[in-house]
Amino acid sequence: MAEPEAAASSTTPAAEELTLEEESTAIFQPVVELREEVKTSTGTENEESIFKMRAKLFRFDKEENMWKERGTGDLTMMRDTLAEDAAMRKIRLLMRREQTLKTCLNHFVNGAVELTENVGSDRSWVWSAVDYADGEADPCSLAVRFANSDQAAKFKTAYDEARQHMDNIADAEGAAEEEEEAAEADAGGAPAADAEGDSTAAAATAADASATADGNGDAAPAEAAAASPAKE
Amino acid sequence: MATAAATGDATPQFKLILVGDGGVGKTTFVKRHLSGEFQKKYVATVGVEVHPLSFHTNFGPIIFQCWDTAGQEKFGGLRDGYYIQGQAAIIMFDVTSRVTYKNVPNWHRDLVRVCEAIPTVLCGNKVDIKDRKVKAKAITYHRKKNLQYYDISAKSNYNFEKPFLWLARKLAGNPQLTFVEAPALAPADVVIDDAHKRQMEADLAAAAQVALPDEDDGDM
Repeated sequence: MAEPEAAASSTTPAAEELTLEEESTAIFQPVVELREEVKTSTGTENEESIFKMRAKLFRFDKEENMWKERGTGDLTMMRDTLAEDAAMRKIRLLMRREQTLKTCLNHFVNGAVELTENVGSDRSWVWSAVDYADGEADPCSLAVRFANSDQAAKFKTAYDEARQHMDNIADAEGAAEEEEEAAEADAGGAPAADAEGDSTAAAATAADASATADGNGDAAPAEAAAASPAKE
Repeated sequence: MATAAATGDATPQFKLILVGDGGVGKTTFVKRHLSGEFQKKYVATVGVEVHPLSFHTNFGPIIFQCWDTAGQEKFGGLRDGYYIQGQAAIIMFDVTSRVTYKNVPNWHRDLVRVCEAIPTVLCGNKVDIKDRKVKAKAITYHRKKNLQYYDISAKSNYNFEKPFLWLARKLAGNPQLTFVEAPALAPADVVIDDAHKRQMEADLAAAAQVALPDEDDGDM
């Protein structure tokens, strides 16, 4: 696991003459007393870093039609270490701002989303995502800029590998769902009705078809509907 | 004084007053912390805008309720209500504008009139700009009043966390306090339907035609 760079160097100021840092000797009565260390979960305890490079992240503001900075720090790709099957270990893009270590990028690599070029830059990439940096779903256009085009190319290579990996996972998950649906369809009747479990035969077959029984109810209704005409 | 235990599990919150002349970069500084954005366009703040700024520390999460005040009201002075129950303060000036430094004592006087002695950081902003007018050796006010001082740059992020870190240590009575990685919860698995996918692709195509800001900067 990468060590947090809490004391990360900030960007060098251009001013030649900086003020010497000295500590004020003033003494204050604390407002609260925080004495006990608190272990904060990083959320990445069960993940490993497979890519890390310093970058500047931007998010597109549609109303103002301009890119706005989201943060500067290490752009990482974190891979799950828990899934037994290595082929099923998911990868997310994660980035924290230097100095304050707040999250400014957090979403799974999407197998269907490619990096594209940004006008006028050979060291940037743009892509679309539903991002969770602030904890809520944020559909957005994102851009990342590296120090130079070499670094940008390295990210592209790593991203494309991750994208292929995630695409394979999506295919595998899709296949598993189709199997379940096929099992339901084999048991006869409309899949939607069977999913409710009024046919014991269908329920039993569906359970046989997949070890992940809870995948049944969660299957996207839209997908089930889209798949059904083919079976008729 | 309440201990953390006495206040239960509630996240400690502190009222932070941010003052200084108009245009020194108070709102830009706050936005930088909120969303990461660096706003160049100057829009004068009217009255006050209160923003919660949260930080994760090795002693748990804390929140500054940041009162971003209108610098341009200096002629009339801020109403006392802005200062009342303030627990920490940042007085900001612009190192490229001497008058903004000259006005620091006025802001400080107004502050202590209501708040008395609260942890206060004096910040000289815009140190990334080559043509610095308020030289380091000219900045002495903090010594007279025993305030903490930092050169900062909201543009380059130089020292941009330092004012909050120093204030947090004083407010929590713990010099060992540091910022730690914020928890990165697992993102959701997103299923995007075709209509949304097309919309996002159209948005991206439009965005890709807009250049990123400061492409010429050696910003990395």
